[in-house]
Amino acid sequence: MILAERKPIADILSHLGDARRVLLVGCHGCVTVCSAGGQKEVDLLVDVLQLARKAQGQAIEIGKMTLERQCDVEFLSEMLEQAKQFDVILSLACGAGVQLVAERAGSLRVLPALNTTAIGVSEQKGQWGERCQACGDCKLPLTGGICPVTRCSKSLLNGPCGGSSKGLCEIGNGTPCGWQLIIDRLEVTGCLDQYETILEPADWSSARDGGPRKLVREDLK
Amino acid sequence: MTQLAKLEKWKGTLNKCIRCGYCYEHCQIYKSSRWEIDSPRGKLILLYGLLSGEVEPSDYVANKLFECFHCNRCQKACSSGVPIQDVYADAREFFLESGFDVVGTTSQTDHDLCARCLNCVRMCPHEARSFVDGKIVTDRLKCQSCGSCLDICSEKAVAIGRGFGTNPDELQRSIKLFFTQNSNAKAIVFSCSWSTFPGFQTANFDEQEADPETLTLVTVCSGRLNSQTVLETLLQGAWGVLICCCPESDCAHGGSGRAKARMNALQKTLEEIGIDPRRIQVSEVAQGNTKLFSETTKKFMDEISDLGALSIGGKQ
Repeated sequence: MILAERKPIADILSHLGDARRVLLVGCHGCVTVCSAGGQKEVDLLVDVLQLARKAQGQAIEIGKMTLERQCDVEFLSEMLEQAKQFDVILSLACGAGVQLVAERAGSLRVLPALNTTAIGVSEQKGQWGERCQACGDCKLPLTGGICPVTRCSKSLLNGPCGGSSKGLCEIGNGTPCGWQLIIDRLEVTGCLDQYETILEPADWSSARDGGPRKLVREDLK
Repeated sequence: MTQLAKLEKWKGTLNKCIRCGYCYEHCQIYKSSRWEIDSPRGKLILLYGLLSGEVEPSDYVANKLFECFHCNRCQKACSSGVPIQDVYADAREFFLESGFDVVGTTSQTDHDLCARCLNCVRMCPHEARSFVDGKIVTDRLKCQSCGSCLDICSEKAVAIGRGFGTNPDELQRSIKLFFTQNSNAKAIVFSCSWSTFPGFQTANFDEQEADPETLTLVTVCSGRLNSQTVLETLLQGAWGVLICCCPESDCAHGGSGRAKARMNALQKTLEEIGIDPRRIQVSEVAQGNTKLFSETTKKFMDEISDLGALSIGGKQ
């Protein structure tokens, strides 16, 4: 899923400026699953904004709704109709959702309430971790199902480096060495011989370096 | 009815109940409804009737047995030493095995709303929730109605049908009424029914002597109190909110730690928006420590009285 977390309230307030009518829009997709932009988080942010304005002695009118997904235009139309009564849309979707809303919102300002942080998984209750950087050329068949681009702090395709010690990466915070994970996994699956294969320098044009990516499927058109 | 055999062993034990009613004042279910049948004594009499043949098993009776917050206060207060929770446990098993599909106060998931994030499954301290055939299901014998799963749900898909005064909407109604009817109202104290509940009963003798400045509301476990309820209390006009919970080591549901973590996050948010974070406080009060409960409340009231009202116009 796409991981996100709420922006500091001070940032949200600063972006809102003196907007008096704000429509908060949550998303039932990934940001609900990672507890950042679901219905509960929308309700909580409504209360926080009302309290903040109360403390400042300024009025605020808040509307709220949560959409099936903000990354599909079909789900936006009803919300955009209602949004005409507001000064600004404050979206609790990931960066993709916020942008699609902004593309469709005409002259209405659209602001993000979240910081989108990663593509990742639930590691345990209350904890999520990054697993994919969407490089566009999946290396997982060669690396035991563990991504060197994401899990190695340097994105080395042939590792580990000298900063690996006792299974941990030199960056600290208990971050495992991605290449130690890969080697351990290759060993467990009886594929350690794959480690002998030197990976060629990657063609990063399929990743961000090639500019904004587009996915076109003629068979679905 | 052969399935009743499970309960037959308790016949002698049920005879031990001398109907003294000491269990009454310890039961949030009874204190909320004020109906005899909702009290532990009433439920034991129902079971007695079931065994004697005077009461027929029904959804109504089954539901009564599943309406319980598992605090065990009744059993501790019982003058005859009836192991009430053990009797209930067998009765619940009997009803489920007999095909009575009731939920009582167990937490249930609205499958249409549920996003299958599984956060409630991971959160449940009693391993009562699981993902089966595409749905979150609650094991009604394991669920202790602590409500740990309620605030974790981003879709608000988890609910306890009858909260007996402890559900978020019921709490908000009580809070609104208190601030509407009392011009001197200043604060809400949310109290855990495991630790603080018996304490404050003896701290306040009757409603006539109730403090016009503070209202104490029982939340079952403090871990069940959702952040939104706390913020809405401030929006209703409260000068502050105090949450009294068990010492962390005493809480069977991990609720005290969670309440502290959630309120810590809210305090940081308050600070960010220029409101003094001391307006939300969490204090541990061990079970039955009436003196500490009174002192904690008084200290909190002194502090927020110094801070003054959370008024419009920039003053904190």
